[in-house]
Amino acid sequence: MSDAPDNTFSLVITGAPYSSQAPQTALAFAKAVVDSGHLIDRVFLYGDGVHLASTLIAPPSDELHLPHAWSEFLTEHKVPAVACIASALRRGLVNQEEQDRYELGASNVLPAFEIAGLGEWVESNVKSTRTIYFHAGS
Amino acid sequence: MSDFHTLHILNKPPEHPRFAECLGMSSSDDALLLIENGVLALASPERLSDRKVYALSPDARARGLTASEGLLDYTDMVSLTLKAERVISW
Repeated sequence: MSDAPDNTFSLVITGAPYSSQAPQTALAFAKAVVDSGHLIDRVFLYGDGVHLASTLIAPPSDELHLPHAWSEFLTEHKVPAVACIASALRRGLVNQEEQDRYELGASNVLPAFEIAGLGEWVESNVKSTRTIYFHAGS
Repeated sequence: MSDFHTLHILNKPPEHPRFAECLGMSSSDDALLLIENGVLALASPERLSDRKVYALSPDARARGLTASEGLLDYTDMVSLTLKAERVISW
């Protein structure tokens, strides 16, 4: 496999922000992928990784705001990001549609992310040159 | 052509059961990339002999560790994942 510019990556983040380094490592990796002239097909959030898509995370102002930093990256480079619906609903991460469906008190998904099944993950896996996983460290 | 068969990305500290598991599962045709708390293994490198070992430089520096060779930045990490036939994150 050559280091040609037509390589595409899928990233899967399973570690939560702040309790694991996974979203931070994945973001630095994603920036390096783009800077190297490659493409990111999709980013998937699975398991505790779905917390990254929450609008309700409010770290101290002198710390990196990971959900916002990721949102900026995804928007700037037009990279689709999907939070696994089965993981999301169990962890209190819901969009407007799911809020209505389950009659919940709020919705909290950042606009750069969508909630969906992981069918797209299978497709992306086949399409991409590499799928790289970012897990929690412990 | 691949330089090596499998790239093992290891982010667990040396005392984590997965660390030993990863070393046991990797062969001499493989490369090991230490990231996050995995770089703590640089403090006792004799455990890692007999294979290609790389470490993510920002993670090593953040933990006050260094290595005489194999320190990579994120761009090098991207290239490394493309050189391998397979990539496993432990």
